[in-house]
Amino acid sequence: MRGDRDKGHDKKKRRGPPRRKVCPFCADKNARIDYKNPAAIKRLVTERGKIVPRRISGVCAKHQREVALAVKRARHIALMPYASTGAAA
Amino acid sequence: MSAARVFQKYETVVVTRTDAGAEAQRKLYEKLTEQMEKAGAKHVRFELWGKRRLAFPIGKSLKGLYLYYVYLADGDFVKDLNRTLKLSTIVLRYLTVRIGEDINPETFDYEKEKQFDALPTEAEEAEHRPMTGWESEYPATRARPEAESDEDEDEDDERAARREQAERGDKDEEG
Repeated sequence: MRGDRDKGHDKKKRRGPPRRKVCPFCADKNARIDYKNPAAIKRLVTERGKIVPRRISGVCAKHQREVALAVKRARHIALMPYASTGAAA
Repeated sequence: MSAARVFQKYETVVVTRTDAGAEAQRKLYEKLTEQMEKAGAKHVRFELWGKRRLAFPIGKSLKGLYLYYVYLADGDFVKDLNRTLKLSTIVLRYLTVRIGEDINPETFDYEKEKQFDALPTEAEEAEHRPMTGWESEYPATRARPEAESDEDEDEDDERAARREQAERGDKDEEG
């Protein structure tokens, strides 16, 4: 069993370990996550207005929770879209 | 020592219709500040964010006037305030968030955050007349100020008259 698994692993071409992403909000202590400033959290949503998962954005769990809350608040007061076709914005 | 009321600090964003008019905006502002006074809440800050394009249309509105209040109050007051906002016909959206806990209103530093923006006046309101969706889609066809449009009409008339004359002239020559 173990031999098989090792074989499968060897077949994969991996060039070194994946780069560890650093949470932008942990790196910059001054960066605030604020629903009132949609420009700052714009890069954490897709063009369609979806919240980017943290496995992609690299945001840590703690800050991702804050981001999600901020985006949802911003959506409620129409500062950010719930959904957009991409072409409109 | 008398038991001082312990307040929470709240911020409220209110989005109102841009076509409501300065009068209605002022009335809403007065209503809210009066309500704060009556309940003993402390109004700390008022910001006018101005007209912004909504991320999505709400009802028939494409733009909204954003107002931002910061105040010290207790939870019961927020309930009442939200009720007022809910019942108002010019409010599109509102959002209240608690931003500070257990604040003594007597020792709070009001000056630090003090800012009270002026509401748009009637004249300003008239200047930035809210555009309908149709006008923003086709900016070239937007209604021009009256003086200008009068001149334009005259010019058009003159030009039309000249063209008519010229045409007549052409015909005369031919005939």
